[in-house]
Amino acid sequence: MKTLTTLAAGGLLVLLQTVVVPALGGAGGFYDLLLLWVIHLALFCTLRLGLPAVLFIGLSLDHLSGAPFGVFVTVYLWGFLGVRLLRRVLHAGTPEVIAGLLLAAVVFENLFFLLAMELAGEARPLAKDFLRETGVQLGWALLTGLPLAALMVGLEKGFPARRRRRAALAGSP
Amino acid sequence: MCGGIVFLAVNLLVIAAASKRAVSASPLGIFLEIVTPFQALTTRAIGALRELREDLGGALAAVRENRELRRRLEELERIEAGRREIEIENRRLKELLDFKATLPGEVVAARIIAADPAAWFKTVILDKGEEDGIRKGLPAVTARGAVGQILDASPRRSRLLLLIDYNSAADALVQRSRARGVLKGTSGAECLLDYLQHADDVQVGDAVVTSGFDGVYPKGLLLGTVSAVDFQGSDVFKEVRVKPAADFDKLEEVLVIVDSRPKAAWPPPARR
Repeated sequence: MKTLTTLAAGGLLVLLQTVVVPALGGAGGFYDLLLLWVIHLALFCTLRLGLPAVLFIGLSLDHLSGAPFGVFVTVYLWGFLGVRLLRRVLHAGTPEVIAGLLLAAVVFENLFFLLAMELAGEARPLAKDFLRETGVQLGWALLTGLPLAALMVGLEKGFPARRRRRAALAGSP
Repeated sequence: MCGGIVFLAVNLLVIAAASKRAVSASPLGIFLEIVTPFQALTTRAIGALRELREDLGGALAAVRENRELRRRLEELERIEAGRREIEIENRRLKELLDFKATLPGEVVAARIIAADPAAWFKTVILDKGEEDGIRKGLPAVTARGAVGQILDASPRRSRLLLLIDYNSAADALVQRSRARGVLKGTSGAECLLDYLQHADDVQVGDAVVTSGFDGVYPKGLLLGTVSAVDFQGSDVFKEVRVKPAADFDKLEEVLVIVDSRPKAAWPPPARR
């Protein structure tokens, strides 16, 4: 059941990113929503569930995008494994840390795109275009990262009010 | 029997005597003066209650009516929005159809169904594919000019590389001076017209059209207008910025030119 929910959430985000966000105001400018989903998988799911899901969605996006093939799956895979490694040394389940991870992931993804374009021998964006685009994406990530991370933690662990109520119920005779 | 007659007689006498007395002098008048204000008050209260009931009923009916009217208004607004959308789409498609008639070859109209998930790459997915005659390398246009070329196609879908993508290039001419260059995408709002030399005459506002030499775009399709010309003495080429003719943020339908050869005249000329 959780596998299906995870894949459905990923699929929904793909639709949001390729259809809804461009319709709302251009494809450029908004960060990759799937990054948040990858962070969620790395933090709250097992390797057995997370890894195939990341591979599946990454390959799907590689087929949908005009980017050099394999860019998305590589970014998501490294992102997934990196966050899992960080989880060992960092208490990464709080909204603040997740928002920070999202910012790092946005920078990592954009740098990786640049590297992929370089390796593929494709034209590179101008430095000022790159900085502007990455800056706008970081701005959106700053603005929406914390609330989305709080929602993610809330859905996974329960919201603070509900947690308090549950704790009170558990404490009562 | 006798008692009954006596009672009747006494009763008649009393009635006769009472009918001759003035009302003001009657103790009954005082009684009336005391009681009637209360009666009047009660009557007024009942009247007020009745009015209140009617008002409340009216108010409730008005609330219900208001709710119903609001619902109908919302429905009408929804219908109106749908009608407006159809009207806009109709206008757009008519424009595209008129443009289609001006193209020499065979074209396929396709709708854009999704954009690229990566902000750096400007591709879109079309709802038509190989089954409709679309294949890799074909150019796509709108009524406003060229928009890109097909990157790859599956049986029922295809991917269009937009002119503004970094990897996009089209052989172009400055329409007024016939200066030739290559229009390259920047993945931003503008494109660059490369390889224009010092001597080439190009000014802001000049139209840039396809040259037809690249074997992709037919000759004479509008690509955009020159928005800036930057040139320093030491540069080999001029830096020319071009504002694309098509509005890529609002792109919804495109025409893919599947065969740029002129259509055969129909009906064919009669044989002698």
